[in-house]
Parts: sequence; C-alpha cells; structure tokens
Amino acid sequence: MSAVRTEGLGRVYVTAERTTQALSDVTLSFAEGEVSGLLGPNGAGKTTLVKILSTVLLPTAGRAFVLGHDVVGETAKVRPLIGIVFGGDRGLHWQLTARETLEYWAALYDVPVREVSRRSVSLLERVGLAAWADTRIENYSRGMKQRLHLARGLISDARVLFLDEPTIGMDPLAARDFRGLVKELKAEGRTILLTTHDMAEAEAVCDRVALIDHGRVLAIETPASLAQMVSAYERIDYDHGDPGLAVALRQLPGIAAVTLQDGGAHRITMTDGAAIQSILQFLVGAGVTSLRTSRPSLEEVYVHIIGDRGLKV
Amino acid sequence: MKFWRVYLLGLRMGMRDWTFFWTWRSWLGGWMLRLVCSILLWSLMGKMMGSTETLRYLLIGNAVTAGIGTFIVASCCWDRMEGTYSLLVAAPASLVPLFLGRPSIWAFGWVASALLSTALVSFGFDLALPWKGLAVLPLLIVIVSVSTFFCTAFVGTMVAATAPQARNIANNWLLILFSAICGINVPTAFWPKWVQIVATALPITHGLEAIRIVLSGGGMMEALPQVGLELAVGAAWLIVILCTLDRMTDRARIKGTIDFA
Repeated sequence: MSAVRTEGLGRVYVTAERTTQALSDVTLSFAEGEVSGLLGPNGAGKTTLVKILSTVLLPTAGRAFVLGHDVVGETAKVRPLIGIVFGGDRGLHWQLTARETLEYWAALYDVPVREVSRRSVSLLERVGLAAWADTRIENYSRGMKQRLHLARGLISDARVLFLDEPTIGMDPLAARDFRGLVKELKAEGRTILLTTHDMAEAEAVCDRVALIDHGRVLAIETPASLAQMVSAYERIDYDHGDPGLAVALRQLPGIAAVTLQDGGAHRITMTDGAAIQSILQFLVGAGVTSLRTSRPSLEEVYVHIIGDRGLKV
Repeated sequence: MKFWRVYLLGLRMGMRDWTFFWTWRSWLGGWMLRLVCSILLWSLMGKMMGSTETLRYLLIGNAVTAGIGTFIVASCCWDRMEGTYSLLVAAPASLVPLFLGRPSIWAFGWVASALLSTALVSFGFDLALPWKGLAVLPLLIVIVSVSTFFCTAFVGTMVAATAPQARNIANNWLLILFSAICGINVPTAFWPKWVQIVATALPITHGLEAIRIVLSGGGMMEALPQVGLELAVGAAWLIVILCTLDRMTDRARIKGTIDFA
C-alpha cells in the first residue's frame, strides 16, 4: 500500500487581487518506509502539497490519501497517523520546556498518560536534549529547537512524517546529525516526506525525489536516476595552460561549453554523453595529463530541469 | 477525561504565558495601577457631576468589572503568531479544550483584579458596602468572568481563524462595547431599545445588575433572576463556540489562510 498517494491533486488560492494555481494535477505515490523528497524553488507548491496531506488545507481538485485514508473525507483517521516537523524557529511554544512541550502534544494525540513520561524521556535522549529537558525553549539554540521539533513530531509515534524544510538555518554539523536521525527513522519503517531546497540533503537521505515547479511535478526519480536524466550534461575537468585548446574543443561535436573554473581548471560540459570517448582521446592527444570526469550533482539536475528562475516565483 | 487533560495542559501553558508577561511586582505596580487609575478617571467624572449616587454607580461598575474582558482575544491568536496553529489543526484533539484552556488563565486574573479593585475603591472612597453583599461578591464576579470569558473566547477563536492580525483591535472594540452598553458606566435604560436588546445578549449586563442589587443592600434572592440570566448568557456563548469552532477552522482550511509555521 502507498503511504502517500495523490490523484490529480490541485489547489487554487483566490484573493481579491489574484487567483493563483499553487498545485496542478499532481499525481504521485510514495511507498511505506520510503524517504521521499519534494524539491523545488520557493513558490513551487511543495508546502501546499504537504499542507493538504497533513489536513491543514483542502484541495480544490483531485484526491489525496495517507495510508489509504482520504485526507478530506477521513480527516479523523489521517491525523493520528501523521507527524509534522517544521524547520526554523517557529512552531514551538517558547515559554514551555521541552518536557512540557512533549507532554502537551502527547495529550493532543491522546498518548496514554502512563506512556507519556517514558516516551518523552526516550525521545529527548534520542535527540540529545535530555540535559535540557527542563529548560525553557526560548533559551535553546536553533539546532536544539530543530531537534525538539523532531521529538514533538515523533511523540505520537507517527507512521508518516512530513518534514518541512527541516534543516533550514542549521549549521552543517547539526544538519548532518539531523540527517542521521532521518536515516534512523527510515530504519524503523517510518515513511518520511521532506520538502527541501537543499540538494545535498535530498541526495543524502531520499530514496526518491519529486521535482516540483509551478505547482506541477516535473519528475519523480531516485537521486541517481535524476542525475542520469541529464547525463548528456556529464562533464570533464582538465588542467592545461593553453587557451587555444579550449577554442579547439568548442569546435568538436557533442560539446555544450568549455568554461574556466576557479583554480585554473577548465570544465567541458557535453550535450551528448556518447561523445565522451572521442573528447577524452582528443584531450590526451593534445597533451593533457590531468583530467577528471564526473556526474552532475542533483543541484545541477535541478537547475537544468527547472531552469534558472533565481528569485522569481 | 481527554477534554480535561487537554484543557489542563492548555491552562498550564496559559500560566506560562502569564509568567512570561508578569511578575507579581509588575502585575501589582503596572496592571493593577492602570486599572485603579482608570476607575479613578471615571469616578472623577462622577464627582464633577456632583452626584454621590453617580459616583457610587461608576465606582462599583468599574471596580467589579476591572480587567474583565482583557487578553482573551489576543491569547486565542497567539498560536497563530507562534506558528503552532497549523499543528493544532492537524492534531487529532478537538480545538475546544485548547481554546478554552490556554486563555482561561486570564479569566482567573480578572477575578483577582476585580476583587482587589473593589477592595481598594471600597476603602478609598468609604463606600460602606454591606457585608451580606460582599460575602456573595466573589461568587458573582466569578460568574460574570465565566460568561465574559465564553463571549470573548468566541470572538477570539473567530479572529484567530480569520484575521489574527486584528486581534488587538477586536479586543479593544469588545471592551468599549462592554463598557458602553453593559451598565458599567451608563445605565442600560439610557440606550434605545435595540441597544438594550444587544446588551441583554452580552455578558456582564445581568451579572453586574445582580452585583448592584446585593451591594445596595438587596438580598441574594432578589438578585437571583439576574444571576440566572448571566449564567444563561455565558452558556449560550459556550454553545456558540461549540457550534462554530470546527466550522471556522474548516473555513480557514478551505480558504487556505492557515500558515505552515
């Protein structure tokens, strides 16, 4: 059974000034136990999709299911099954302690009273906040708040977790630890759907990634498959002092660009992956002794597919 | 059981809100001082009018309702400000005990404010209030506070679901309304009939009338019909909350006005 499934899902926001199509005909399915990523620029529709799946927003078209339950018609069955984890500072009651926060949310999810204390202690230990359990959240660092977000999302023992930009603003070490926690959750069989801008994060933890832009799903693939989609953009980096070599290379078939990189190396980007052999032979023949081939990162895939929208939303 | 568990944890959060706002020193030296100054301002107007009866009317009206109606609308909206509202909506629990729990701490504060204000004014102006009336005054102030709480909580939940940025404006308008037509500063009989009908449906009106009866030497039996009406008004506002809260939330879900953090 799919943990998360949507069929022709759409959402239109109507205000006095404008009508915005935030999601359009989104059909996707993520299996139980899978870590899936929603990747896209600001305004792409990632958060709108998660809001619908978490019953906070109603769709204007199509249907969505969590563990087989319709998020609109069976809201009461969906809610106990899901946990929501935000990124950033918001979404916590700063005047409470971590222990009080977990007790509060445990009550909202009807966790048995005798179970709350044991579960809170266990979760706080797991996210490394046991020593801070009775400190007000207002005194926490951002990374600590983020870990508490995750503990709060887990207090109900949710089978499906929605993580909305979970590592936003975290320092690299904290983000790495957080990804480790996500992998642990996957090992426990939980289904995780995370929205992110961070390509490295998606590559590190996701089994599959859905690229979203302008409310539409452009592709759903494994990170490796997405990279293969643009294998034509495979690149070769070489070190050679002669600028004439770059000019000569640009005349060869299958080459999109030859650019000078920071540090003096040149990068050849190809339009046809099959051309790699002839280009390598050409470079060796020209006396190049230092060269490297590499696959595009997910970030480059993202840029190639979505384009260079920059800050435009 | 589940209702009370959620309510009590909401109340505990309200207590944390309270201590976030006040210390006992700032509550007494800031909040209570402000209330007493407000009562004195109204009373000076009564004194300028040269009528002992008017002075007494204004003193009692303002003292026994001192602070009542404040903070609830804002408190209902704080989850919107904190980014936790969407998490509450997505949780399986009913929103009713949540929205009654957290803000209700302020209603406890109203009772304390009103009793302390009444004591100060009573001694300060030598009102010579009857002991029999004073004995039932705490109960009557509790009843007025409860009915006002349900009314303001309804407005608070409505504002939280629709326009949380207007929380302070809404709260101020509500306080002006109470102050103007519920018999605090102006007898309800002064107003046109339709305003009197509106006042009948609002909290404070009947409870304050009952308080005026017992503090002018009347017996509790004489005040009982007004007490009953005040309780009925409070119950009616509670029913309004129960009937509308889920619908207001659903409306916000339809319109897409619930932010994610």
